[in-house]
Amino acid sequence: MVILYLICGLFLGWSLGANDAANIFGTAVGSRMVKFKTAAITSSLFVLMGSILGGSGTTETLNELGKVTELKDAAIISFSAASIVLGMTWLKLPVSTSQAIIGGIIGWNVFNGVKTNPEILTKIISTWIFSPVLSGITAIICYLVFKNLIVKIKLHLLLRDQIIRKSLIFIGALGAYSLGANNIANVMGIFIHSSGLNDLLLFNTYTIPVSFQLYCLGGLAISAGIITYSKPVMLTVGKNLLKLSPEHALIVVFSHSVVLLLFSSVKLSMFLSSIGLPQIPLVPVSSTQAIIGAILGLGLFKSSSSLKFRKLGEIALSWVLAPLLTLLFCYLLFAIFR
Amino acid sequence: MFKTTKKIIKDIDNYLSHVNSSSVIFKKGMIDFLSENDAEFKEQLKEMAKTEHFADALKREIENTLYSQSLLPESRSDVLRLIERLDELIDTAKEILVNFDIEKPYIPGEFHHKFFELSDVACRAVEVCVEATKVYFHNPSDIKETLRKIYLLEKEADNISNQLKIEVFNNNELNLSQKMHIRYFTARTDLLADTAESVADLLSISSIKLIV
Repeated sequence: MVILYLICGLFLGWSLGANDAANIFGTAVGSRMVKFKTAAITSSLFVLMGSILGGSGTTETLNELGKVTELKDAAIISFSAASIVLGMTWLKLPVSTSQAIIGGIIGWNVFNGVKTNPEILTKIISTWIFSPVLSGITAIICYLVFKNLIVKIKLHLLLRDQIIRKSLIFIGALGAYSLGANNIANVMGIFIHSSGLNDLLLFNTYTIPVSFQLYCLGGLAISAGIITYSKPVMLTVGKNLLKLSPEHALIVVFSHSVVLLLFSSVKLSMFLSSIGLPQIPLVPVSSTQAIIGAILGLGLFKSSSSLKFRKLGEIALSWVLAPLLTLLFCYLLFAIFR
Repeated sequence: MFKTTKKIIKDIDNYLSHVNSSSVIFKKGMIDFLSENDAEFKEQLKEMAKTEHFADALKREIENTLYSQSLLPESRSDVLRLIERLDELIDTAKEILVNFDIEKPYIPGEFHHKFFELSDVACRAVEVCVEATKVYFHNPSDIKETLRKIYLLEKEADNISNQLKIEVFNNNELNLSQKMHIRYFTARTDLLADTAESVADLLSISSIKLIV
């Protein structure tokens, strides 16, 4: 039964891998700058590393919003989030796994009459606005630096092409790492206190904590999503909002990675606190929102006429719909199965 | 991968050197033909054939490598079209010299100066084309100034060509067939500058796509 419940979380991980890895490598693969095989291997490896090495920060915030202790509850929340993600993806609307899972947790809080911590909720919602804005600003700064660099260095077109290819893989790896570190909480965060699993003792020497086991499982699920289903998504991504050149893709993915790392790095958060600056909240932010924020920033800076504003409206709508629909669906599921 | 890239960059540079050489040979050939240095003119024809042969081999090598190594997926078609268009410069220069050799047009001495001038301007247009291609590969955002030079040279070539035609048709000592023959060779020589202009047009559009 534990496995069956965990499958709900893994299913969410799988869909996250299929959709969000496309955000990272979509343009590179779509424009044939990077082979799908290279993209799939790199992203699945680094997403796993990010999940295992840097996933703890955002998980804590998610648990502060709602500490789910029952495995069945966690499975229902995961299932409702995964269903909404799948449904909205089917409707070709960009959807955030982070928003869906948070909607699900709030739905669980509402059903159980548990008061949602307004401070944490505000912190999370503010990052939904702040992360795309920050991503857009980062993209504009990167664009200006990159443009000046290209003019100054005067690399041969073919060398530039090669360097961009290698950079797309490198930045893609960074993007996959930050995706794993920031978004693993969405997949496995709610199972930390509810899985019923115990710490494993390896060779009577090494203790493998529950969180590590779950991060490994979640990371593998995301990797499976990347390998099995991200190719068609990768081949169509990037054409919806603004057609990206490989150079622009590099800037967009880099900005996305910076934002995701900022919101998941415990060390950075502690460092900022140590020098008296406000801490960056460790919140699972939406990879899709970060990517869209970067594309939007770049598009508005270069020429707003090339942006598809109708699509932009659909995206804004989906950002409101995703948490609300998951909240309602999760509430409904609890009402049926409880 | 960088080894292949460096090799193809070298091939492209070599190819551009051959385009430049073809314009130098063309100019020498014109001087030799008009000065009636038959032996030297034949020598230039051989040189031109050799240059065209090497350039064709390099062109095929570049095309094969670009496709087989999947290089420049975004701008490959532009680069290939550019190489083809540059090849037309060599072909046109060769064809003009070959036609001079076959048809041996009678060009009175009073028109030689204009013919030298026309071939010089056309050759300069070809040389600036090579320069513009290098700018396209290294710094496309700076290409406009170089392209402007090509357009100016093409315009100058048109002016010289028209003046030459007017002078030829105002000449009372030549019969109509001779006049038409000279007009044909004037137009053929001017075609070299026109081909350079078409390279400039292609470079102008292709470079926009490369500007970040």
